Formats: sequence, C-alpha cells, structure tokens
Amino acid sequence: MRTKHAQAADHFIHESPSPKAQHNAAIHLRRKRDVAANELQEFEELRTRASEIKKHTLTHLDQYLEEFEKNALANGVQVHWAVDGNEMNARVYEILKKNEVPYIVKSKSMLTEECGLNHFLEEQGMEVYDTDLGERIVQLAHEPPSHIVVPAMHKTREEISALFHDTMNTEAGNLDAKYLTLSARKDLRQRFMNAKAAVTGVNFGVAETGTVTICTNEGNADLGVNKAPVQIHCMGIEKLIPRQEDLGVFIRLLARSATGQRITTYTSHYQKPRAGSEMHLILVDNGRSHHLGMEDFWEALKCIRCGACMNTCPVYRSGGGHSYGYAVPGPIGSIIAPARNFEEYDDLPFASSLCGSCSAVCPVKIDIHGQLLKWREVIVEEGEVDTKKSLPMKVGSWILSRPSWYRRAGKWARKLLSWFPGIARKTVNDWTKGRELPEPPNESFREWYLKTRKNEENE
Amino acid sequence: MKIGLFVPCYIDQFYPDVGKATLLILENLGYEVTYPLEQSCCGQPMVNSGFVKEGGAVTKNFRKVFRDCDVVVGPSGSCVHHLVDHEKLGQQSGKPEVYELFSFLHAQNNFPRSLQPFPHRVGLHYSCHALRGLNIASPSELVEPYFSKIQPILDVIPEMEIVPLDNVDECCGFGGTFSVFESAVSIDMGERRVEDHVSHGAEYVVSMDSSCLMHMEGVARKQKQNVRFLHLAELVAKLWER
Amino acid sequence: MKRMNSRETILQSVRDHKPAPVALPTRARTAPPPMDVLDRFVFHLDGIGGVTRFFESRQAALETLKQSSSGLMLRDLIQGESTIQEDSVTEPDVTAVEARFAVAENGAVYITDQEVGHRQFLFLGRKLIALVPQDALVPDMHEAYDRIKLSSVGFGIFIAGSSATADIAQILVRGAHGPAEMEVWFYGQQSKVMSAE
Ligand code: SF4
Repeated sequence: MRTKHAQAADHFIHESPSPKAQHNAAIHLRRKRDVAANELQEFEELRTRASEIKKHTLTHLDQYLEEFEKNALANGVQVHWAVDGNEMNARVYEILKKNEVPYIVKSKSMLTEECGLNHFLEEQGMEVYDTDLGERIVQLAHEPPSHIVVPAMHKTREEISALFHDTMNTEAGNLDAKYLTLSARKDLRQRFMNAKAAVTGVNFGVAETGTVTICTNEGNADLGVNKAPVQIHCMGIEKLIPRQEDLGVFIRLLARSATGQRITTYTSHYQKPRAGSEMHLILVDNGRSHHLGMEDFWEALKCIRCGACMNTCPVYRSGGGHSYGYAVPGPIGSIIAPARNFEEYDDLPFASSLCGSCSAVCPVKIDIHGQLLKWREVIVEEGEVDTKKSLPMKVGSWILSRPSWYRRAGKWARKLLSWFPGIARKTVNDWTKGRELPEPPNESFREWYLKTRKNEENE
Repeated sequence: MKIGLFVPCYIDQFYPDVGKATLLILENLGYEVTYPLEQSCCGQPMVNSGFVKEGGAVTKNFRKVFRDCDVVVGPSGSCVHHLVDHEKLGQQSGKPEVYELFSFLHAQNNFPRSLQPFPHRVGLHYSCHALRGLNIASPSELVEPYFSKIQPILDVIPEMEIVPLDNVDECCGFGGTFSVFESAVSIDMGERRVEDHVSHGAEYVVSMDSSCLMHMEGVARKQKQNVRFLHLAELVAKLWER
Repeated sequence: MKRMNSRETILQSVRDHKPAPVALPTRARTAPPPMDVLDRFVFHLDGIGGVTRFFESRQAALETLKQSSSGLMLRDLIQGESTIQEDSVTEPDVTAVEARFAVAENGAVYITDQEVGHRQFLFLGRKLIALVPQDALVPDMHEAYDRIKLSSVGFGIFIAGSSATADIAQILVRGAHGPAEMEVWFYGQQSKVMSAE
C-alpha cells in the first residue's frame, strides 16, 4: 500500500538528502515560464482557445477518434486499441515479439509510466532503455519520476554523479553536468544505433491528418524512432485535437508553460512509416472514457502535461513529486488519480492549500483547485474521511451555526490557550511543531464592541 | 446604504484589533456601520475540508444575521471569497453583497487621502483568496496589465518602503485544516514565506488576511525571527490622522 | 477479433460518457509584436545558442559550406556532396540541410523528409546547418501551420537550436542525443510582404 501524502511529504522534508532541490528546480522553471508567457500579449487568449479546443474535442471524442484512426490507417500506420494498461502492454510486447526485438529504446511517456510498461516488459525478459536523460537517471536509480517534464528533478548533481559512477563507471566525484550528460549519451549511443524498436509517448494526435506530434529537447525520441525499423507510439485517447491548425495554439503554449522555452528543440510530426519500416499506434483508454463521464472532473482530461501546475505548486515543491505516489504528481495528478482509483488516492485532494496558483498557470485553464475542492466534497459524502477530521467539522458546524454557543466556545478557546498552554499544545500538537500559537487577547471584538458601543446598539 | 460589519470568528476571538480597525476605517470614511451581534463564522473551514452540508448550516446563520444589510464588509479576503464564490452571496438574490474591506473601498473609490508616515520596510502578503479569488491585484501567473486595488492606500502612506520578494504571491501554507493535516508541508511553506520577507529586510509583513498572518507569525515566533505582522486595516487605522 | 472488441468497447464507452457538446472556437488573429520578424528570429535563435548567418544568394551559401567544411566530415543533404558514405551511420561533423521556412517567434526551422531523405540524419552528427531563403520567414506558429500540409509528407519537424537537456541540476548541456550546434543560414533578400501573407 502506498504511503499517504502527508506522511510521505513529511518524510521527504525531514529525511531526504536534499529536500530543497525540488523546490529550487521547480521555481526556476516557473520563473522562466513567466518570462516566456509575458512575451505574448495574446497569452490569455491562447489559453482560452486551447481550453475551448480541448473541450470541443473531448465532447466529440468518438468522432475524432474514428477520424484519426481512418487517416492514420490511410497513411499506412497500424492502429491498435487498448482498453487498459494491461492490454497496452500486451500489444506492445506482441509487436516486439513478432519482430524479434531484443530490447527497446524508449522516450518519455507518462502513459507508459501509468501502465507500468517497463516493469511488464522486463518481466517478459525484454530490456528497456529509457533514453530521456532524466528518465534514464531515475531508471538507473530504480525510482519513479518525480516530475512529468523533469523526471529527476529531485536529484542533486552529487547523487547523479555517484549513481553514474556505480552504474556506468564514470569518474568518481566528477560533478560536471556536461561530463555526466555526455557520459549518458555515450552509454546509450550503441543502443540507439542498433535498436530494432523504439517506443514513445505522444503529445498531440491530429485527427484531420492522422499525425502523431512529439515534443522533445534531447532528440532521443526522434533518433530512436527514425533509426529503428519498428516505431511504436502509445497515446492516451484524450491527446487528440481536431486539426493541423490547432497545433499552432498548443505548440505556442506547451513549451512556454513547461520550461519557458518558446518551443521545444524538436517538434516532430509523424504521418507515415519510413520505407521498409513499421509504425504502430496504440490508442489507450485505461479509465479515460469513464473519467469523461464525471461531470465535475472531466475537464481534467484537457491536460497537456506541461508540468506548470507542479512547478508553481508550493505543496509540490515542499513535499516533492514522490509524495503523491501516482505517475502524475502535483495538483493535476491529485484530481486524476482519484478519478481512476478512488479508494487508493482519496487523500490526494487534501494535499493542497487551495491557493489557486495551479488553475491560474494552467495553459488549458483547468479549474484545478476547484476540482480539488469538489473532490473533498465527494470524499466526505462517500464517508471516506476519518473521525479525526470529521468530528471537529461536525462539532464546529454545530457550534458556529448557533451564535450563543459560539460565544461561549470562543471564550473557552481563548482562555484555554492562555491558561493551559501545555494542554492546548498537546491537542494542537501538529500546529505547534513548527509554529507558535497566537497570543490570545483578553477580550473578543464582540466583547469590546458591547462595552464601548452598547448604548448605540440594541440587541 | 446600510453596511453590516462582518468580523470573522477567528478575528473576533484572536485579532479584535483588526475588527476595531475595520470599523474605524469605515466610519472615518463616512459610512454608517452596524455590527450584528449574532454573527459567528462564514462556513469556510467546513466547506474547504469537504463538509459542504456542515458549512452550509453555518452560512445559513450568516445570511440570517445580515439579511437586512445592503452590503456586508469584512476584513478577510478568505472568508469573503468563500461567501461570494462558493455560497454565491450577492449573486442571485442581490442582497447582501459581500465585500472584502479594501475591495469595497476600491469599488466605492473612497480612500483615506493622507495617512501618517510609516518609516519602515514592509513586505506585502497578498493572500491567495483575495488575490486569485477576489482579484484584489494581478496574480503573477496571468499576463495582464498590473493592477492592485490597495495601491491607492499604499500611495498615501509616506516613507513606507515595500520590499521586493522572490515569490511575490506564493501561498503561506495555512489553508485551514490543511495546516494541521499536512503540517510538515504547511510549516515548510510558512518558513519559506517568512524567509523571503526577512531576507529582503522586511520589518513588517502586512496582509489583508489575518489567517495568513497568524500562520506566518506562528512560524516567525517559533524561529525567533525579528519581524512583525500587521493586518493592512490595523496599519491604516494606526496611521490615520486624528 | 479481440482488437475489434477493444476498439468498439472504447468508442462505445466514450459515446456513453462524453459530456454535452462544446463548439470549436473560431479563430482570432492577434497582431504579432512590432519587432521586425528577422530581428525576432535572430534574437530567439541566439537565445537558445544557435547562430544565424546571412548570404547574398543560395549559391554563395553553398560555396561557403563547401569551403568551411573542408577537412571535416560533411553530410551535405542539399547537393548530395557528402564526404561520407550516405548509407553509413557515421556521425559527421556537419550536416547541411535545406529547410522550408523559419519561424520568428521561436527560432525554429521547418524540415520534412522530402528534404532529408533519411530522417535519422537530422539527429546524427555534431552540427546541423539549415539553409533557408530569407523571404521564407513567418512570424509565429499559427502562420507556420498555415503554410504546411502535414498530410503531404511522411514526416515534418520544427527544429529550434541544438539538442539540449537540463535534467542534471538545471544546468543546460547541449548535444544530449542530437547535434550540439545549430546554424541557420539565410540567403537572398527579405521580402516585405511576407509577414502579411
Ligand atoms: S493541468 Fe494544466 S498546468 Fe498542470 S500539467 Fe496539465 S496542462 Fe499543465
């Protein structure tokens, strides 16, 4: 069973070797995003358009899926459908087996992370090389990614240097990022050159043209796909957009929101397989169509996985990406995870101070903190909240809706704080771990008001 | 116009000076203000924890207490945001309209014309609910011409220096019950905010929400940081020429 | 058989669950900033570590390419004058390719498989040089997508600068898996009407 967010985050803050690394990296990206966004006068208008295009697509998703499939098939692409992660994994394995592929080079894909593709293939005896540097780092460290754009965001140079020394025999103690990066490049080069199959995720699928669009900076996806005779693209069904021209809106937003780049180094559009090679496309549902039917939560499917909501989220930056225990961490993960597996992730909607920065930064205008709040309501209705939380709420509500009880309780609470700090401290232990309690005043505002103004007022 | 003064429960109990300051500001600006004695809370603590029914019961009392007022004004962006955004007060029925104190002054375009000098370095904390919920100023995420509804007040305080911050509008980590159930993260967030202000030389941190101030002050006192916390209403009341 | 089933299952589930229809927004055009498109391009390519160079004519650019790469391994995809075996996987010092056009707002150039033949060549080697007619410069990605027809090519790509990563402690390193350097060589004169097209 996964550790609940509050505990995992507590552990991260107090026990991890470098709790500030994640914060520093993420806030750095947020600042770069601000610069790039402010360069475009029309940025807010683009967000609105992106949101509307996604809403339109999702509310016509069956049509666009069929159109997409039709055009991809006409382009000579082999299209597969997978109801869930198991089916996706099986389909990938089937293709690899048929082509007698000894190993695969894989570029970043949150979908394959969500479906546990690596683990599945390794169980079948197939080697998987994650080729995105960040993903390679976490793969070598046997960890999940802590961020969807920068998978090894939580790791310091020191940790990576030690890891590379252990796994690739690089120079001990060499902290030069260039040296480490180029060592990883060298280590993977022959894998690329001899690869028989490459697996990628997909950023956008264009229904009108059957295009698979992939945005990367390292060139690993493109190198893999264009060298290997078998290319496999795994795509969640929500990744569709209607037309080629819609890409203009999303490409302008994606990199700016993610890293503050104006565009990723490589923005590739795959329509047809190369002569003599195979192009496979696997359309994966894995809970998405069901999620689409959730009135209050379906708009979360607009997400283009830019990571901006993570970078801006102070909870994410403090507690780290692993504390969520889900493939997609941060605010957006906290609304997707319970939509896919309610029992397992019903603590995540509470892992937010509801500051709303996520919703304001989101390039497709998902009301993320609104949905988090809505989830809390659903979870309380389902009776999934323990009495530690629910009792004070019920008692509080009872008291606060009764003015005379409120007055008595208020006085009592203030007195308790000043007279019995020991006892009060024990009961509010969680508060006083890192904070002092307010010093209670002698009288409430109401008491003061009655004393000084009571002649002017009649109760 | 009949103005009802709303003093949120925790301000009533722990920060009575903020209530007094609000009353003084409104009266000094020429409004007739009543303070209904049967008020308690807005219901936000429950609703934000998912207890919508329980919160609704509390809000019902709020509606009842203020039903005769045209406008309700309170010194808390957070509570007002809850009443306006979640409970939709002032939207369908029209009455009462609920305002956060400084948003109200802005809507009325009625500000003090001059205040006494405050020769100190001040860090501003725009509370998240006032900022992103009530649009009291441009949040840093949006691409729009910058505005701040409290600017007219800041402009009439001589000698006050607003310190620059690394993260101008990051959440302080309070978040109601979040502060207890996610205490490690909450404290870490609070420490980060306090450090931002202190490292830029702030002598005072000023906000339009007492809950954020309570949280950051709690952190600062625990760390024995030499910085003080003031509600903007308290500051204005303090500096009003009498 | 099973595949058919999954397809139908998913499509049916989507039909059963999709929310009430939302219309596709109509397209609004916002004016690009007043900065000259060429200046913007140079500014952005420079910002991502790329180099822009200018030539009188295509011929002049090709001359320079030949001269400047003497002694180097050159994979010249424009004139087919490679100094290396075309079908080998060798990674040249320089790869030269013709791009269809460039994008001012981000320093990208657009290339398709029709210009490169073997797609992989774009990602091999140390330096990529893209030749672009100077009048083929669009202000932003909207106009870029207006200009291309994805359905007419097997593969099309925007490349902006060199292969890069900052996955280790946010330190930017070029040449992650693809070329470490990128140059855009403009030739000919900029046409005044281009951006208003
Ligand atoms: S929810 Fe919005 S901000 Fe977060 S990753 Fe998705 S698109 Fe980006």
